[in-house]
Amino acid sequence: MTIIDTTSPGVPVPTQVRRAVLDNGLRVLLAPDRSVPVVAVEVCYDVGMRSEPAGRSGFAHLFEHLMFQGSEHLPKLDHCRYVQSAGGMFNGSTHMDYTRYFDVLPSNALERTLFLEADRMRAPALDEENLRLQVDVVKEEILVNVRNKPYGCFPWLTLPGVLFESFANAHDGYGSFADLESATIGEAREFFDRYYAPANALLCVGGNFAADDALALVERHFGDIPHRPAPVRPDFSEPPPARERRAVVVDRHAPLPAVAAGWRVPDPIRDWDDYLPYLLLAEVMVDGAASRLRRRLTHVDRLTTSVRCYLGFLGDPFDVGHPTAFVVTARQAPGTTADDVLRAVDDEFATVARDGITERELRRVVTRLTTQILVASEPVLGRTQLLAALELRHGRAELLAELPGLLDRVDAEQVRAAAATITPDSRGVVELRPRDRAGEQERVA
Amino acid sequence: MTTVVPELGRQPEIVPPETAQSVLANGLRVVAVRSSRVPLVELRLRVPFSSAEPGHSARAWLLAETLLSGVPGHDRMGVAERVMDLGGTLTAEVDPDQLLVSGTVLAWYLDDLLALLAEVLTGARYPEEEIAAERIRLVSRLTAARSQASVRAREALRSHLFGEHPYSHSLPEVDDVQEIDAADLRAMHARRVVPAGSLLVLVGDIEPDRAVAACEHALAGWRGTPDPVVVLPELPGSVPLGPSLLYHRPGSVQSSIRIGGPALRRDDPRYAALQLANLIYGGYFSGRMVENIREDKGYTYSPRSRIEHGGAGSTLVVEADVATEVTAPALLELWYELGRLSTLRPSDEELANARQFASGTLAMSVATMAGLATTLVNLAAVGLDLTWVREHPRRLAEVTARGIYDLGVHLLAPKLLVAVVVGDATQCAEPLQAFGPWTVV
Repeated sequence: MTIIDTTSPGVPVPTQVRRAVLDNGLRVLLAPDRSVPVVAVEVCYDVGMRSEPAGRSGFAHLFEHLMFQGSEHLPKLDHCRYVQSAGGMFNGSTHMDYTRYFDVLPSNALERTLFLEADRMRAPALDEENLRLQVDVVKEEILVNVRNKPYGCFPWLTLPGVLFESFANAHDGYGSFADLESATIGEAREFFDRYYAPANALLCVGGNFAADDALALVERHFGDIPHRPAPVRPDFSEPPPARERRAVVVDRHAPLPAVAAGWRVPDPIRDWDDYLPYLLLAEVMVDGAASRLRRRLTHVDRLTTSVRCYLGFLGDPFDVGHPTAFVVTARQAPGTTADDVLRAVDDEFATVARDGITERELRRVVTRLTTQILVASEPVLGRTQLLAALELRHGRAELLAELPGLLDRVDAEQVRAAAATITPDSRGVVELRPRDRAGEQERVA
Repeated sequence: MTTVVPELGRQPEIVPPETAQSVLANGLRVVAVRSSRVPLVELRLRVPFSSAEPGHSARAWLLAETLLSGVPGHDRMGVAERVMDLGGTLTAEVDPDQLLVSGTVLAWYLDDLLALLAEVLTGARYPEEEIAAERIRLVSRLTAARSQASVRAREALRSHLFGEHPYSHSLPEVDDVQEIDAADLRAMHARRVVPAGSLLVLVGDIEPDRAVAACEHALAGWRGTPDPVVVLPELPGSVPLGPSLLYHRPGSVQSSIRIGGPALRRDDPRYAALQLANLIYGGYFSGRMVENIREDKGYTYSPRSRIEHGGAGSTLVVEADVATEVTAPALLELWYELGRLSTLRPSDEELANARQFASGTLAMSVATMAGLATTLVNLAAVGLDLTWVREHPRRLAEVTARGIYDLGVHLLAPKLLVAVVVGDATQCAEPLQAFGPWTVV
C-alpha cells in the first residue's frame, strides 16, 4: 500500500485530499470534511461508452445495470436496500470514458457502504436471467428518455455520429435494441474481467470521517480483492472532419425543429491550457440573458426559444478524454430553418474571432464559472464526484481548488483564438425535424 | 439480509443551524441561516400568489417570465449583466401557490444582489416589447412541454382529480397567454408582489443577524397594501366517480400510467404513517413497485409514487411509464400492490427500512445550502419550520405496522384512487376495459 499525503491550497473550495494505492492496484482518494454529518462513496471504473466493442452499442450502460443485480454476499436488490435502509441514496451513471457508482448516506453508514461497493467489485452476480431482465429495463429507459420523448437526449446520441467516424467515438451510447438484445452473459463476464479490475478503478470517499479510520476500513473491505492487470486506455483520437458533415433526424413527438452543431476541440488532458479557453467561450456565448448567443438568437433575431452551448457531449468538461467537442444546440422558433440559426451562430463566433471580448465579459464569466464550481462542490456528493472525475481523468483532484485561479489566468486573446476555430467548414450538424407528414422514417441519421 | 454486512453506527442528529429571523416594518418575514462550507449565499423569496380568477395562471406565468426584464435605468440585458457581474443567478417561477424568486451569489456580493432585488420588486417595468416577445416564447414552450407524455399525464391526472380547482391549471392555456398585456402585469405586480405575507430566506456564508439587517436596509422601500389574503378552497376529499380516462397520444411507444387521490398534510398526526406507507409502496427504489414491475417483470424503468404538498391540500401520485403492450398488466400490478398495502400489514423489516430511509434522507436534505433554503420555504408555505424537521424522526419512530394498516384502508385502497393513462389508445384501449369503463379523450 502506497500513501501520498497532499494538501491543496484552501482557496476557494476547501479540499484536503489524501491518496493511497492498495496492493491490488485500487486507487483511493479520501476527502474528509467534518462540516456536515454525511458521507459519499464513489467508485469510478475507467471504462465508458467509447470502449464498447463494435456491434455492442449500449453495453457499458447495460453492464452498469447488471452491477445492481446482486453480488457475492448480497442477493439481488439487497445493495439498494442496505443503502436506503441506512437513510442513503445510490445510483450509477455511464459516461463516455468512465462509469461511476455512488452512494450518499448519513456518516454512520460509511463502513457498510464500503462493504457493499467492495462486494460487487469482487464478484457481481452475472447471470442470464438478470441480463435478459435488464435488457428489458434498459429498453424501457431508452423509450422513456429518447423515443417517446420529444427532443429526447438530443443531441448527444446523434451528434457524435457526424463529428466522428470510428465506432468508438461515433456510436449511440444508449445502444440499438438489436445490439442490446444480442448481448450475452459471456460477454458481460469478459467485460467485467477486463475493465472492472481494482487496478482500473478509483475509490473516492468524501465527507465526515477521519482519514486514517477510513483508510483502514477501505483496506479491510477492498484489500483482498485479487489483482488483475488494468487495460491500457486505447488512443481514441481521429482526424477532425475535413469539411462540414450533416445529418437529419426525425422526431415524431417534437412540435418544432431543433438544430445542433459540434466542433472538435484541443485534447482536454494533454492540451489543457488550450482547452480551458473553450470553457470560457461557451459561457460568453450562452450564460445568462445578456450572453451573446442568447441575446442574438432568442431576444434580437427571435430565431430560437432556447439555446445552449457547452463543452463535452454530456456537458462534462472535466471528466471527458480526447477527442471531445464544443456544442451549440437550439430549439427553433416557428417558421425558421436550421440554416437561419446556423448563420446567426456563425456570425456571433466570427464577431468574437474578429473583435475579441471585453474585459468586463471576461471577468463576468470567470466569476460565474467560479460560482458554478462552488455550487456544484457544496454538497458532499457533488464535491466527491468532482474530485473523483478530476483525479480519474487528470490525475489531480487538487484541480478543483485550483480551477478558479486557472480560469482567472485565461486572457481575452485566448478566448478570441478559440472562437476563431468555431467555423462552418469543420463542424458536424444534426437537424431535428418534427415528423414529416409523408411518413418519413424516424431517426434517419 | 445476510449477517456479514457491517452494522450502522449511531445516526447523527440534525443540529439546528445558527439562525436569525425578523418581520420587517413592511411586513416581510426574513429568515437568515448560516452554512459556511463555501462562500456562497442562496436566496429564496416566496410571495403568496394563489388566485381563483380565470386566466390567473397565464398572467402569473408571464409575470414571472418578465419580472426581470427591466427596472428603471436598465433593460433586460442590463439586469442580466448586473446579475452576472455578481457571479450570480436570479430567476423567478410560479406555481398555483406562490411566486418564487431564487438566487445564488458569492457571499461578498450579497448586498449588491439585495439591492438589485429591491429595484426589481419596487420598479419592475414590464416593457411592452418584452411582453410581446415573451408571449410568443411562452406559447412555443408550452406547446413543447405538452408534447411530452409526462407533462400531459400530469395535467390529465390533476384535472381529473381537481376539476375546477385552480390546482388543475398548473400550466397556463395558450389562449389565455395571448390576451395579456403589460398593463395587466403591472397591475398584478402592484396588487400581489407585496412584502406583507412574503418570506425571504437566506442560507449561506453569512452572519445571520447582519444578513437580516442588510435585508432591512435594502428592502425597506418595498411597500404595498396586500389584497385580502386569497385562500384557495381545499382540494376535493374524494376522487371523481365514473369512467377512468385514457388520453390518446398517437404513436406513443409507452403508456404513462398515473394513479392519484387525496393524501394528508405534513402536520396531520397520521402523516408519518402515510409517508412510510408510500415509501413501502413505491416511494423509493427498495419499495414494492420497483421490485414487482421493474426488477421482476421488466415493464418499466423508473416507477415511483410520492405525496405532493400544496397550500390547498396534499395528493398521492403514482407514476409508471411502461411499454404500450404491457399497459393493462402493469396497471393490474399497481392496483394489486395498493390493494395489498390496504389489506395486509407490512413486514417489520419493510417498516424499519422505510423509517430509516425517511429519517436519513430528511437529515441529508437539510445538509446542503440549496436543500436547506428550499426546505425552509416549503415548510413556511404550510406554516411549519425546521422544528418540524427536527421532530419528525420521532414521529417516524412511533409508526407501527398496525398504524399503516389502519391508514391504508382509508387512503390507499384502490376504490379511493383514480387512474389516467396517456398512450396510444389504438393499442391499449381494449385491454384496459378489464378494469371497468374508460373514456378515450
